[in-house]
Amino acid sequence: MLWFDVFPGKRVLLVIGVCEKLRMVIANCLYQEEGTNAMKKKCKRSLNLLSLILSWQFIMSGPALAYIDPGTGSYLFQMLMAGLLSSMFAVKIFWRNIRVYFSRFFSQSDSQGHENE
Amino acid sequence: MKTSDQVLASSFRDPSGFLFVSEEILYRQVNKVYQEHYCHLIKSGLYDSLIQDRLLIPHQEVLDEFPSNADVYKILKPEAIPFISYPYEWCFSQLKQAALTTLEIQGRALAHGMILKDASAFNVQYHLGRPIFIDSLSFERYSNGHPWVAYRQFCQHFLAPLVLMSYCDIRLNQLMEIYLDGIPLDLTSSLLPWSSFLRFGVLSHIYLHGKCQKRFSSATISSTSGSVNNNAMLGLIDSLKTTIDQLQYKHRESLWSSYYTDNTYSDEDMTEKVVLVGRVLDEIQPETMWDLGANTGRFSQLAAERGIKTVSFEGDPVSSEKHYLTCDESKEKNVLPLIMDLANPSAGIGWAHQERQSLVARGPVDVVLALALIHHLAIANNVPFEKIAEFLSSLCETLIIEFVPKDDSQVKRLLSSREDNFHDYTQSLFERAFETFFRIDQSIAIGDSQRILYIMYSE
Repeated sequence: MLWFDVFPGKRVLLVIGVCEKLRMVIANCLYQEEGTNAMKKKCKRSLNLLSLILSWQFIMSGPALAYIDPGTGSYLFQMLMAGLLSSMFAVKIFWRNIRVYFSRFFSQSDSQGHENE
Repeated sequence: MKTSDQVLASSFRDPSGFLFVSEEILYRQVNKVYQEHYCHLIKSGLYDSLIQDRLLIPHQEVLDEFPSNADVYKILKPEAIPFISYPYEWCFSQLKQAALTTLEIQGRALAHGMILKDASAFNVQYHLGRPIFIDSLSFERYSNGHPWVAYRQFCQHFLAPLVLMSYCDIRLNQLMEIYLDGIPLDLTSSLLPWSSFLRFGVLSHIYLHGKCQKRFSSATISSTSGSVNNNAMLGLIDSLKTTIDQLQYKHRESLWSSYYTDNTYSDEDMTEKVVLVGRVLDEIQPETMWDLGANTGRFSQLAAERGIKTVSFEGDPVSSEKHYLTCDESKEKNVLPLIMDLANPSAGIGWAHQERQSLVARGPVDVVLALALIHHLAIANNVPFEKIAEFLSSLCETLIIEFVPKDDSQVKRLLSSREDNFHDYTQSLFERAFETFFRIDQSIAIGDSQRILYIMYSE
């Protein structure tokens, strides 16, 4: 088991981060030397591709255990969307709580008003 | 399971167990590999919670009635469902309610530390007027952080057909008959109009999800490495629920959906027909009935009022949708409206043609009601009387059928744009053809309409 399996939620970001850092270090070393713009572009493209491949190789490993095919893309899509869906859900719950609080607050003040009348 | 018992042809994919029939009663075997998950389903209170709200089919444990073997952990006897229907026979609102039921179950499962390991639309059935989940072995213990294994299946089985029916055409649920594991998301994306992608749910769960499937189809994945936390999982379920909740079918009238209000029959004739059919049903007192060509279900309602379990088949999806919404509003428990083209009824499909049953294989039934149908089959679809009689005799013991003569305004409408070469379409030839397969018991004229109502018994 790899050490970052202990923190599975951060695995994707960690791997992408490490690959991106690696890409930047190599690119900086290469760009310090003189070269044509075309060569620089080609080099950048190759490194981007390498970074992507390395990321997926780290993320996608091991056998699937489900009895139905979860679909690699579907599995990955959930991981990619996790942050966004989580934040959207948190905001939704937050607003719902605020609405519930104010609706209770106003209904209480309404009932108090009626009692005073 | 005894040696004489028969395993259901559709129950072979899940290693957790299978369905079998013993002495005409359906049972489910739970294998030992599923023991941990089954115990958690019962002990966590999830089973009771789902049963209480009629979301899951209740069962009894009957292990003592069967000989034991090395694989068996439990034998369950689920509550019987009189008629099995399939998603490609459901109207828009039926599929939508089935999808929301599945998501409600998923939400409750998560709250009890479990998750749905599959989300097939075939795991939902309509029973007593409501969708109910029938697969008790679909639950497994949830390890926090893991993505939902059945997310792809849910999107393909529920979201894709619903989105297509809502944004493109209500008839596109028929794609579920071709794609038994749900409509592929790339196909769905290609059929949808651009405006639909302005909805976050459609853009993400259909379009981007489909793109992701295509791009990473050849990669391998570990189900032990998860990165979807509990909040994200709840967010995913909530997002799917919101997307489906917002989908609407924009009601458009079809040629047949206003049949009862837009025809040339007098009110007196229609009233007489209602009284006649009611009287005949009172005489026969069947337990089950199929109403073929049910339209918006006026005559199915007559049977339902008498406690007869009725399945209403209608080829026009708009009429079927209207009928279902009426049943849903009145909480009707005895009627199940389904979409069925009787000139091309549901066939036996899936593995070895046996996974999903044909219409005929789901019969026979006590009574078939075929009102204002014969001219559609014989004239609009060119089916000879003999073939119609033979088909109907394979479906029922008693047939209530209406003969519509050539002089009738509805037949004239069918013949208005084509040559009349239906010289065999006469009452006497109709009777002769049906007498080969049935014994004609009664023939009653319906008011001044020249139509005849026949009551026949299978030979």
